[in-house]
Amino acid sequence: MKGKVYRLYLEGQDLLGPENLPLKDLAVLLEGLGGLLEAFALEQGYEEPLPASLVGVREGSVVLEVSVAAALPLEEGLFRPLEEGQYHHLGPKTREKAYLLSKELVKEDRTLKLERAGKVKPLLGAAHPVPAPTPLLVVEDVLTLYGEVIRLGGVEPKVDLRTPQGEYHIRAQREDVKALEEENALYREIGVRVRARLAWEEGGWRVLGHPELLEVLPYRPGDPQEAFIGLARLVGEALRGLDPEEHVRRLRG
Amino acid sequence: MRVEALDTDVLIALLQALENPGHPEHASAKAYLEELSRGVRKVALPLPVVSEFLTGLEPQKWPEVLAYLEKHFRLLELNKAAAIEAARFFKARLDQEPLKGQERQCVRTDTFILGIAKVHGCTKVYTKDKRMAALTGQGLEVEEGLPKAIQDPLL
Repeated sequence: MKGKVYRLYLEGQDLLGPENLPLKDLAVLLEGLGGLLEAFALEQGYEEPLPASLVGVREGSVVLEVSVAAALPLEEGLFRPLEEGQYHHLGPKTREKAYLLSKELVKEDRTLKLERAGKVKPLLGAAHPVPAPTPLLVVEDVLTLYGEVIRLGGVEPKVDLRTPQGEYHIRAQREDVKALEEENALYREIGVRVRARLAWEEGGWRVLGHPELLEVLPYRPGDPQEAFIGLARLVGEALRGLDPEEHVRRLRG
Repeated sequence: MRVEALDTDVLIALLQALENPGHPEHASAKAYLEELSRGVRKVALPLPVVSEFLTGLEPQKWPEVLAYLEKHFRLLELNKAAAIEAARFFKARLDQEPLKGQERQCVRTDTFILGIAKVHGCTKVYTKDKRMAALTGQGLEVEEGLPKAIQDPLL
């Protein structure tokens, strides 16, 4: 796996070079940084052990050169939100790890900075502390999803669904997958009811992990225009003369 | 891709406009449906809307209409997350000014519809109800009136 090298600066008044950094402090930093990168990788769906390693320690104050799998969108997904304080863009585990590492650095009045596009900017620590995450609201819930089936089957039976909210990798029973295969559901739109863990974050709800398929719904849409015309034919007579606003007022008050 | 939810009054008005070529909104309703067919936008119906819609029909019709809706429309259910979102909309409204009597019941139904729409990723709800339109917020737009075409028709 190809690695990309990032240059991180650990700065503090007591740090003039690597010789001023006690080994135990370096160990705390590396453990915190490793945990942060691993949490980010997991929340990005990267399932292999994360190839991240320390490839250099230099002066100025202490420069750490860290190599991380190039496939991981670290700059946009992790470093930019940290630099800009846009913590709600981080997943809950990543946010927690960033807070813990920042807290450790604040204790020693140190700041971790990153060199990016020729500029060195603080990521976390004394000069740019990460605030404690707000208590996360997580619910076990049943959710209805509608979208296009983009993958079906596999060694671990699954239904991958592309919805307007994003893609979901849904764990399924083999017989449900088989039934969908038999009706040629691949690349067609279906509706499913799933069990999922949902986390509320600023801006909305996010599905944690992979939902479990409970039921494939009868939804088999054709042309939406035809669907409305068909519904109008089905109920048209009953709705003739009904005042829509008055109908709702009568029901809701 | 935007998914938009319809309130009961808009669903009924849309069907009435479609059925009647002389209806003042017949052409714009057709233009909206053409956009649905082109995949420019998608439509969904929260279950409280389905319930109120069925209330306008004879109960003998309900099984047939419900089966039709389940097959052809995205029906959005009330779940725990939607209940929490509904509470957020309701609280935001209560914080503005106290609700009185029957208005409280009306706003409660409105907030359930909005909560369900929000949790299922809808970006907008169309309603003819001014009170619901005033609840816009929490990242969900509420627009008064029937949905209009957002793009010029394809030549």
